[in-house]
Amino acid sequence: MSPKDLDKLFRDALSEGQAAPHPEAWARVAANLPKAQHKRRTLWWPYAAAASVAMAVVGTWWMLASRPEAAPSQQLAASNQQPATSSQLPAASNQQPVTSNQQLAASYRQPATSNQQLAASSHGSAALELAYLPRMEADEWEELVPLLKREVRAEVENPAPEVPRRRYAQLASSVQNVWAAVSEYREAEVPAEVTVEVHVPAVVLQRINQTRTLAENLTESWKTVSSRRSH
Amino acid sequence: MEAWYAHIHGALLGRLDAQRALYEALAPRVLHTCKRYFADEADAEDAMIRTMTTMFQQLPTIREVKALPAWLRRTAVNECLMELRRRKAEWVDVADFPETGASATDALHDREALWSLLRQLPEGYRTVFNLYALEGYSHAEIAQQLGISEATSKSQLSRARQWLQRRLVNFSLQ
Repeated sequence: MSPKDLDKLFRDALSEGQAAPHPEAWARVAANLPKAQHKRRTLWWPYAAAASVAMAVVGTWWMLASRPEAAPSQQLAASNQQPATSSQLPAASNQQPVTSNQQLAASYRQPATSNQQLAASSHGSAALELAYLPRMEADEWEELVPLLKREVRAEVENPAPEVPRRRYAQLASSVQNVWAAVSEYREAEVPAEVTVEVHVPAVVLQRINQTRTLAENLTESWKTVSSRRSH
Repeated sequence: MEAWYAHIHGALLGRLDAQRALYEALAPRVLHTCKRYFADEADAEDAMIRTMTTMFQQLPTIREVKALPAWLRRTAVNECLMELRRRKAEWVDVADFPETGASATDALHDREALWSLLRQLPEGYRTVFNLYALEGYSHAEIAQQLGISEATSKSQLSRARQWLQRRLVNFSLQ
């Protein structure tokens, strides 16, 4: 065999090939791997959750605020606004024809005690419905949303003299925006207790129910968010 | 297109699974190359590990994926030679070398037998034979790589061939 044949014999047979390394070898390679370029993982879902909650809040407010409002000059506790609307009232309300609207006086005291005093004049069912409205799971909200965690002590007169926001007067003038008015009050740090007298036509009762559903949804979302956050 | 091409990107991003897959695909070839230079398997594996480590560090600079196997082989050979140089292998200088006649081993293509023969070669012989016959280096390159004279390289190669041929004849006689 010539030297060239010998070389070729070995080259063809052994130049390329595979040999299984020991399993431990990988660990030694891995120990010296170049530093990985870590991409910082951004947690996106808290932002998404916050955004959706914010949108829900804004949406609720918008729905309430965009109702046709009465003139700002109207008094908060305007009774006998529209005697004509008395016909739209639910059949359960058997009030006197003189007071065409149900009269409800809801006073919101300090959030710590969160006493919801609801003085319903004569209509239990309507009062129950209304009682839900200013509460809005107030205790939970105050724990979770610092913005709302303010003491409200405002004695509301017609219209309150020291109200810092004009928006308040506007909202409060409309019976349909009762809850919005109350929350505005709570935000506005009016140093007194809030007394809101509400005269409720049937349309408003409907609106109240819608609001309650919205409020429940909001509470649900908040629970989801906070439980996720705690995990 | 080989299967391990798919792992290059992940390995560049530093993903451990991709790096592992790349290693699993390429390490056996490298280890084979290294084993041709060392009688001791542990030495070969050390050289393989250094080669693979170098590869992962150099990976961002490698432009052409297709060139990676050739690059790996070159790097592996260099790693082996570095280790051999470090050990200051004894280069037996042989003045003259009688050419042996052709042997009747043309039929011998048993890969395993050739493999064991190659690895039984004395270290100096094996290195030069590997470089010359299997990697295709010239004597000048070998001399430069190993820090020896060209004459030494040539004589080592002749010795290696002689040694192998003698063994091959023995094989054929069995």
